[in-house]
Amino acid sequence: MNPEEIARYILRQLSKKAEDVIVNIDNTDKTQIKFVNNEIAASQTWQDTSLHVFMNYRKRLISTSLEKMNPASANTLVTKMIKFAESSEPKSDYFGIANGPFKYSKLENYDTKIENLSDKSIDIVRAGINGALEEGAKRCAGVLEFSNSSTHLLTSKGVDAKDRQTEIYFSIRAFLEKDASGYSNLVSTKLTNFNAAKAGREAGEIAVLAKNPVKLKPGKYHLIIDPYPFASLLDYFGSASSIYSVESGWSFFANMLGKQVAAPSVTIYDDGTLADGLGTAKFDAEGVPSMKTAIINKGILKTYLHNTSTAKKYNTKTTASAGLLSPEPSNIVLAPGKLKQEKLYNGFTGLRVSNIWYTRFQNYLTGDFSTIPRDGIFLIKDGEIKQSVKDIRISDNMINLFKSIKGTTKEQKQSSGWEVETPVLCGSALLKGINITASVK
Amino acid sequence: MEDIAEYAMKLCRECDYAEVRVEKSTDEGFLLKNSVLDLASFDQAEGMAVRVLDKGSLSFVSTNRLEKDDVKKAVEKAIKIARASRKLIKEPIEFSEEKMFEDNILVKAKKSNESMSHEDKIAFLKRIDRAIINLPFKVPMRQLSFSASHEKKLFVNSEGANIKAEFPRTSFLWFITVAEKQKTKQKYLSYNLTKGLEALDEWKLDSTIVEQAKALHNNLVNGIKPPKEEIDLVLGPEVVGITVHESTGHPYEADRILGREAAQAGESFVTRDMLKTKIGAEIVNVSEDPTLEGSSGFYLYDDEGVKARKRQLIKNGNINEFLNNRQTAKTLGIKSNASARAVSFQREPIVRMANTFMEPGDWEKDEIIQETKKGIYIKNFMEWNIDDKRYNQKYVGAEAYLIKNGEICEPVVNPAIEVTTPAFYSAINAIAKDVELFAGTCGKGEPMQGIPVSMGGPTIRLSGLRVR
Repeated sequence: MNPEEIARYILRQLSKKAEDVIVNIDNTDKTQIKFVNNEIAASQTWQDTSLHVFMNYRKRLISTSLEKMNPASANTLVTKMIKFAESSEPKSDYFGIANGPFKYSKLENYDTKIENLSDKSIDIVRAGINGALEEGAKRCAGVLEFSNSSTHLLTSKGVDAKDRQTEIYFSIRAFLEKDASGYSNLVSTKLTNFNAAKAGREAGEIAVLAKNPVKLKPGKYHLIIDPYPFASLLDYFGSASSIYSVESGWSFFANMLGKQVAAPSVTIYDDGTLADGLGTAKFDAEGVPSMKTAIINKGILKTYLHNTSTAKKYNTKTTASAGLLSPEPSNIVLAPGKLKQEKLYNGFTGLRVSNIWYTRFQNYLTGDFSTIPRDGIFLIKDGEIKQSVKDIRISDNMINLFKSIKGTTKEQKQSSGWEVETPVLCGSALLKGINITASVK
Repeated sequence: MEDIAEYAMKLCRECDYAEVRVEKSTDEGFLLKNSVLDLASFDQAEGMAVRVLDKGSLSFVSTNRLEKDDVKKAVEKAIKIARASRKLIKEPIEFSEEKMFEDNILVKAKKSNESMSHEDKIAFLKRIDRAIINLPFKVPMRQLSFSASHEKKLFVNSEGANIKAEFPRTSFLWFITVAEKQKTKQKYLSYNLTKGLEALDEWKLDSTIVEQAKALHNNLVNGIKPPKEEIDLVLGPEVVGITVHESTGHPYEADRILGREAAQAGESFVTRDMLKTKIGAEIVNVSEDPTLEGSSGFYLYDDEGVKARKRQLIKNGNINEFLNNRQTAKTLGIKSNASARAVSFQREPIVRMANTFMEPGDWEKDEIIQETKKGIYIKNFMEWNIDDKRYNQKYVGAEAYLIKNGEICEPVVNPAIEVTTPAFYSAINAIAKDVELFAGTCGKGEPMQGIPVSMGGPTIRLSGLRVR
């Protein structure tokens, strides 16, 4: 039996007893080239085939995965799942999965050039490194990663659907000196126009500008945040909008539906249909066709993200965000702003933040948090860089920070990576009066 | 496991060096959220990792497709890219020479996962949940999760290593939100031991969570703002643990020092020429020990086959030793101290911590409190972060109290320490004997590897710092 036959067999067997069954086969082939000090440090390849099963048996929810793709393992899994469910407890607030079948978009983010990239990838790495060095950086580190994946979803409610995707990701950090660095990040589902050299130049340019940084007096500062760090903050808006986060205390959006949670200029979507979106898919984890949902409209929180079960619990509609346990965003998209990138700094006095990392919360419900700017941080006066700075921390509140947005740029880029778990499409943001702290000794 | 490892090793025979890890794990978990059992799960995974060093080029491949054809395809692809990578390698990668072993490490659970029924595990979670609900104030959000796993691995390499290891692991996480009128306070804590279900008895979860909830509520109702002047700080083992993990363990990882993790996890304020230089008060000693039986970060051989030992990172206030794998050891001209770890067969081994802790001093905890005229006792924390060179760090207290004339007084709300690493370790003037370890999941690498570790130490006192 091949994996598809095994998946169908498991679905048939479990459906005899269980009310809802979902079987999902995922195949991924991924390669990564890691470079350090302008040289390749390691190449890595992964090949993975996984078969996941979710079952509702008398409201007892069980999830598992198949160890080996053979009939004996499948039979063991079926028996064990039923036995496990019988000794478990019902989830009183569970209301089922979506009834299919559904019609899906033909849009496919798949590029065979990425699938066949293989050792030609070395040239892309070389172009990225050279880009940074041409700008004057002394050394750089990062990764090029590319993958092709496919998924086949089968449910007991009539879904039998396939999807596939390619991704390419280039992440580069360039250094002029130990305390002067710049970062750039590039992601796409297509190889066309994938310009690693440009990303390298961006990182190199920031590194050179960041030369000789000095400490900064703590206080309130206006900020311009570059797209990648702004994406990292928007990522927290995405995860906070999951109803699961709201129920369990991990969200600053609890009890905020219909309330102002950001500046009136801010509209944020979860968009599973985004062209070239890394999180774009034909369907969610229960087979509901992907959709675009306004989470925040003109600063007002409009909805949480739901799957079919949580939507029924709250008498609303699914946002095609299953996650069977926890609804999840697909691509976070900020509606383009009115500011033009080329005029963004005109007359601006404050700080430019080109990257952040290590965001942590004191209280997820209130949104009190801090995060650390890294790589180029620049004190700007009347639109000109006055000084490169270092060793600061943004210590503020997430809702306050988004209410402080005075504008965002029309030009946008997609970000994904270490600090951006859900892919985000956004531009730069201008914020007023954000609290900056630093070490006391 | 042996067959597939042997087959993969044969495929790599033309490489200068090769190693194979085959791993198999099972895992079972239960999640209770706000009194409702959200999900029960059981999982199993099996796969292998192959790493080769070929004329100075390092390549890693991972697969869970264990048919011979798939393994062959994966290994050949890895070797092909390794060879193509040579175009961009000026300094060939080399490993330090190490003694290799054949060994079989078996950690047995005193209470196996099977000794407790599913019903009893769920009842266990519900009992803790009820104890929280029965408190005389609101705890509106409660998340309790439990998991038990069993891991089996085989490591072989082309230098004769053959290490088999098998061990249980038990984990728990609680996350509570305490409310009073419109105000809330939150706290979570994770637990993890390389043990069977006997770990659940050791953790005394019912009483710990209830006491923590009471303390948070007291802080919410009676808490005052922290004083603004310079003051003594008494830090509990949980705070000391996160500090030594973040600002001793991480910056002493030799791969950071040499730049290998520069792109994401970052580098280090510590440079290779800072060995044996002063970093803190003479009474400060910080160690790293993977060999602590039953600990979260336990292992006896690392994922390069090197025999594990205790490492003394700070000795009498001086930087004493870095954490090394075979690659960084070769660059530094020393031997590896067995710090290479991979979280699963899907990740390459990189330099990691295991169990990091400040060594005990000669004070009693009560003695430190009694001899503090004015200070803040920060028992535990919620928010924390540190910059990527591990120099500027922040810890914000969750449960904290004012100390006046040697007595613990009213609670203090969210005292935030923001300080540089040398200033922190230099300000320590008293170290108690009450060492405690706390579990954590340490993130590093790209792709990310969240690996089980522990961190801790005794109660300590720092003089003359301001909090916000």
